[in-house]
Amino acid sequence: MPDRVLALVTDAWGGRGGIAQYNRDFLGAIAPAAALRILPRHASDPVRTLPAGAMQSPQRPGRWRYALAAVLDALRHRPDVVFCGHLYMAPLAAAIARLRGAHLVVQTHGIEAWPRPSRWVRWATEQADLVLSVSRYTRAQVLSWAALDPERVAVLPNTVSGRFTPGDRAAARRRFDLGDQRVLLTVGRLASSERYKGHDRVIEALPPMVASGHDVLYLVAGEGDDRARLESLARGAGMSERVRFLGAVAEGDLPDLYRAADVFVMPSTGEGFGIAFLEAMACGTPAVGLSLKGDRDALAPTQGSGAAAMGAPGRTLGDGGDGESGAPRRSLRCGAGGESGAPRRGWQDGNDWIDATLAVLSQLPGPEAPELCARSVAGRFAPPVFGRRAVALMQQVAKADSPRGDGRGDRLQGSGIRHAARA
Amino acid sequence: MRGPPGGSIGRRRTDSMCGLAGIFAYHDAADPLDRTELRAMRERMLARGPDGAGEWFSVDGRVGLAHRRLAILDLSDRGAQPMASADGRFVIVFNGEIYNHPELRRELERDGAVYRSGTDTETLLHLHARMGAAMVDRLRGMYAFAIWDTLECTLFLARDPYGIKPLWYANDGWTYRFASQAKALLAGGGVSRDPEPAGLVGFQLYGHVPEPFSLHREIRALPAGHTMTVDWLGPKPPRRFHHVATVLHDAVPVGSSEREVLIRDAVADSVRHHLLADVEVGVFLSAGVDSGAILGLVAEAADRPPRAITLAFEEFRGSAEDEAPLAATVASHYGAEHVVRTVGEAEFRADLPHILDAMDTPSIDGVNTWFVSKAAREAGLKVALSGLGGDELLAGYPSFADVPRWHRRLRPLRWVPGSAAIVSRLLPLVAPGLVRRQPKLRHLPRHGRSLEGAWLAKRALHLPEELPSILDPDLVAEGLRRLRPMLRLTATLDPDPGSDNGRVAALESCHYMRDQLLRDSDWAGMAHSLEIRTPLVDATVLERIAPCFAGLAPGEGKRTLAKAPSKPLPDAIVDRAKTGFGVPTGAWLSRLAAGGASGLAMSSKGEAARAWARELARA
Repeated sequence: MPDRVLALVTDAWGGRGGIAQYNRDFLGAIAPAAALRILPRHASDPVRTLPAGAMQSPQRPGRWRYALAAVLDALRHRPDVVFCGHLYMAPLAAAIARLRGAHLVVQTHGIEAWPRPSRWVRWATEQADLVLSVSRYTRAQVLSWAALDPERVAVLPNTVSGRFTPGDRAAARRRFDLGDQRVLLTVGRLASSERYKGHDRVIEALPPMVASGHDVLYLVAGEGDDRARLESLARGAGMSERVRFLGAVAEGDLPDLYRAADVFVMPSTGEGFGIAFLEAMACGTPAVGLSLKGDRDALAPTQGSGAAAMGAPGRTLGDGGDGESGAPRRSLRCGAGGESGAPRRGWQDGNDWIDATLAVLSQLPGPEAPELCARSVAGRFAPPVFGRRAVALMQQVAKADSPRGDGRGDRLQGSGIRHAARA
Repeated sequence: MRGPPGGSIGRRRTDSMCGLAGIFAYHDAADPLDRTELRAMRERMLARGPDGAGEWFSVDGRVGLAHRRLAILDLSDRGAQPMASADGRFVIVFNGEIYNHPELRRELERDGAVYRSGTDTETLLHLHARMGAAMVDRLRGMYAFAIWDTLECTLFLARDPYGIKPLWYANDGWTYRFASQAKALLAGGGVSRDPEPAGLVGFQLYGHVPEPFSLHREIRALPAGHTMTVDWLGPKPPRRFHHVATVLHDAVPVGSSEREVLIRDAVADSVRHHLLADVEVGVFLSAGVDSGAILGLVAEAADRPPRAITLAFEEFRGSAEDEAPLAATVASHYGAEHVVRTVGEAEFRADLPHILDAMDTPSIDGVNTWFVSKAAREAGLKVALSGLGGDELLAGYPSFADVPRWHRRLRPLRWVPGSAAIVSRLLPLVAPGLVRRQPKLRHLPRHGRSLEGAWLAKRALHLPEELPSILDPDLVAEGLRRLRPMLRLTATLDPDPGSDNGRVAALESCHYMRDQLLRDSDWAGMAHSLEIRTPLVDATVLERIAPCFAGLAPGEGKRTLAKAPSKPLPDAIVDRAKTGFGVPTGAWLSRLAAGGASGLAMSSKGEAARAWARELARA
C-alpha cells in the first residue's frame, strides 16, 4: 500500500451525488492503510467525520486556486500516489505525478469518459499507472480513445449502501399510500439534459399496458427541469391518474420507496452505471432496464437472481450488434426468474423491456424472492467487496516499478521499450 | 488420469493438445462462466485438434479450460488434456512441443517426480510445481500454455520466445478469456467485436496485423517470449523472459573458423531435437538451402528415409521459379521419398473461401503454406519440418545488405533539417516513372535516416504516408498513434544487437517472421491438422550462433548451412538465387480481379501484394 496518497477530487466528504459517494467509498477503503490528503473542488455540505488517517482541505472552487493548492500540497507532502477523481482533472494530476515522481491513478465514471476527450486529457490518462472505471462499458470507451495497455484499466464498480435491504413491503406501500395497483418505479433526475433515462418511454408504454389488462401505477421519483414536459406527456397520453410525480425523495426514504414498488423500471439509453437498479434490487425489487451501456453491469445480477428481470439484450456481444461496445444485440435475456430466454423479438422494435416488465408484473414473486434478489446484488456490489478490491488495486500500483523517468506514456507492452521511448 | 479435487474433467475420445481455450470470471461482479461459450470457442478450433476434445471446470464455475488435441507424443489417453497434476493442484492446457522434454523428464524424475504419461504436457506440470513462472527459462520448444493453480486461484500463461505458437486473450474488465485463435474468442460470443484501429492500420502498413494487436480492440496477443498472470484482480501486464536483441547484444563475436563449427553444430542439434515425435516427421522441401540442409540433417538423424513435400505450380513449369526439379535433385541426394504436389489456379479459387476462413488474422502471405500443408496432410503426415527462419538467422534476405546501405547513404539527411522532405518532393519530378513503379521510394529519404526506418521502408506493404490514400485519414491517424510503429521498431533494437547483421536479424525475427511467417505457418498448418516445426527458429540455436552475427559476410551463413549435413548440399542449390516457396498469387489475383471491380494490372510482386491485401481487407 502506498504511504502517502494525494486525492484530487471534485467532491468527497461534504459533497453530494454519485461521484462524491464513490470517492468516499474509495478513499474510505484505502484510508486505514495510507496517509491520505484530499483536495476537493467542492464541499457544499458540512464535513462531519473523516476516516482516521485522512485529511481533507477546504473546498477551492476556483480552477487556478485549486491547481496551485494541489501543486503546493504535492511539493510539501511528497505523495507516492496521486488519485485523480475526475477525468477533467487528469492533466493537473498527471503533471503533479510527474513533478513528484508519484504513481497516477485516474478514476472514470460514466458519460464524461465516453466521448473522445481533449488531447491533454488523453495524454494525461495515458500516463496513468492505473485507470479505474465503474463499468465495463466505460472501460471499453476509455480504451477506445486512450492508447493504454488494457491491463492498466480495471473495473471498480459503484457500491450499494447497506441501508438498501429487503423490508416490510406492506408497510412501505402504506407509507406511500399505494393500493392494489401494480407499481412501476423510476428514480432519477428529471433533467432535460438526461432524457436518455427513459421516463418518456415508460409513460408512452402505459396505455398499451393498461389496455392489455394491467392495472398499473407509475411512480416517478426525482426533480428537474423536465418535469413539466413529462407531466404534459402523461396528460396527453391520458395517464395522469396513473403517473404520480413524487418530486425529490429524501435519501432516507428511498429504501421504502424501492420496497413499495413491484418493479423498478428505467429504460435508459445512456446510463453511466445505474446505481438505482442495484438499490432497487438490494431492496428485493426486480429491475428492468435496457442493459445498453454502464447499466449492463448493474443489471447483471438479474441473471439467476430468482426475482429480477431485465428487458434488454444480454451481455452477449458476438452477434447481430452494430459493433459498438455494449450496443444492442439480438439475443435477449429477460423474464422473471432471470432465465436466459431464447431470442424473442428483434431489437428494432425497442419494446423488449416492456415484455420484461410485464413478465414481472404477471407473476407473484415467492416469499424468498426479495432475499434472493438482494443477495445477488450484495455478493457483487457490497461495500466490503468494493473495499477489498480497491485496497488490492492500490497495493498493486504501489508495487509497480518506479514511474519516474522511464518514458511513461510511451510505454509499450512487453518492456525493453522504455529505453526506446527515451531515445 | 484423475481430475483435481477442485474441479471436474469431461472429455470425448482421447484428449490432448493443439487448440486451447479458457475462461476465468475473475471479478466479484462477473457471472460464472458460460460453458456453452467455452465449448463454442473450442469447437472453432476443431481443425487444430481432430484427435480429441476435453474440458475442465472449477467447482465454483468461475474457471473453465478447454482443449482440442492433435496427438503427436504419447498417442494414448494418458496424454489427454486438460491435464491435472497428481495432487490436483495444477490443471494445464497446452499447445506445442517441448523439444528438451526427455532431458527435463530425466532431471525431474531424479528430483522425485513421478510420471503418469509420456507427454511433455506432464513435464510442464512438474516443472511449474517446482519453479513457478521461472519454468519458462528451462523450456526449449514452441509452446503456448495456461496453468490454473487451484490453491492460489491464479492463471499462468506463457508463449514461446519466438511466438511460434499463438495465444490470444480478451479481458472485458470482469472476465478473462484466452484461446489459440482470435476467431475462437469471437466464436464464443462473449468478446466485443469493436475494431482496433492499430490492427486495421497495421495490416495495411505491414501486410499482417502486428503483435499485440488484432483487428478487434478487446483481443490481444500475449507477446512472444512473455508470460502473464491473472488473479482475482485481473490480468497483470505481460512479463518478458526472452528478447532477441538482448541475446545478440550479450554475444561475444567469434572468427570465421569458429562460426562454421558453431552454425553446423547448432543447426544439427536443433534438427535432432525437432524430430521428437511418436509419429512420422516429414520435411517441406523447396529448392533453397534452408529446407535442403534440414532434409539432409533429418536423413542423417532418422532411422528411415524421410518424406519431402514440394509444391509445384502449373504457371511456373519450365521457368526458373519452378522449384520441383532442383528439389527433386536434393531429395534424391539425401535418399528421401519425394512428393511433388502441383497446384493450379482452379484449386486456388476453390480453396480461397477456406483459406480466408482459416486465416486467423489477415496476412498477405500464407497461401503457399496452405497448399504445402495440404499436400503434407494428403501424404498422411501430422508433422513437418520447415526451413522457415533460415534467412533471419543466417542473414539470407537482401534486406541484410540493402537496409544498412540505405541507412548509411540517407543518414546525413538527419543533419540537414527539411532535406528529406525536399528530396521526397523532388523525386516524383525527377523520376516519375520510377516513383510510380516503386511508390515507397518517394518516402525512403525520410525513413532511411534511421536503420529501423530503412527496414520499414523495405518491408512495409504501404508506408505511413501512403495510408491516407487507402484508408480513412482519421482511422490512419488514430491507428498510427496507437501502433507507434517506429517506437516499436526502435524497442526491438534495445539493447543494441551490436552489428548491422544483428540489427536486421532482430527486426526481421521480431516483426516480419513473428507476425507474418510464423503466424501463417500456424493457421495454415493447423487448418490441415498439420504441425509445422521450425528448427531454425529456436532460442537455443539463436543463443549458440549469436556470436557469429557480427562477422557474417553476405552469403556466408547459407554456405555454412549447406555444409551442415555430413553430405553437403549440391552446389547448384547453394548458388541458386533465393526464391523460397513462390506462389503465382499475383497472376491469379490479376485474373480474379479482372472479373471483379478493380481491374488490376500488376507488374510487380509489390503490386500483387497490395492487391491481395485489398482483397483480404474486403473479405
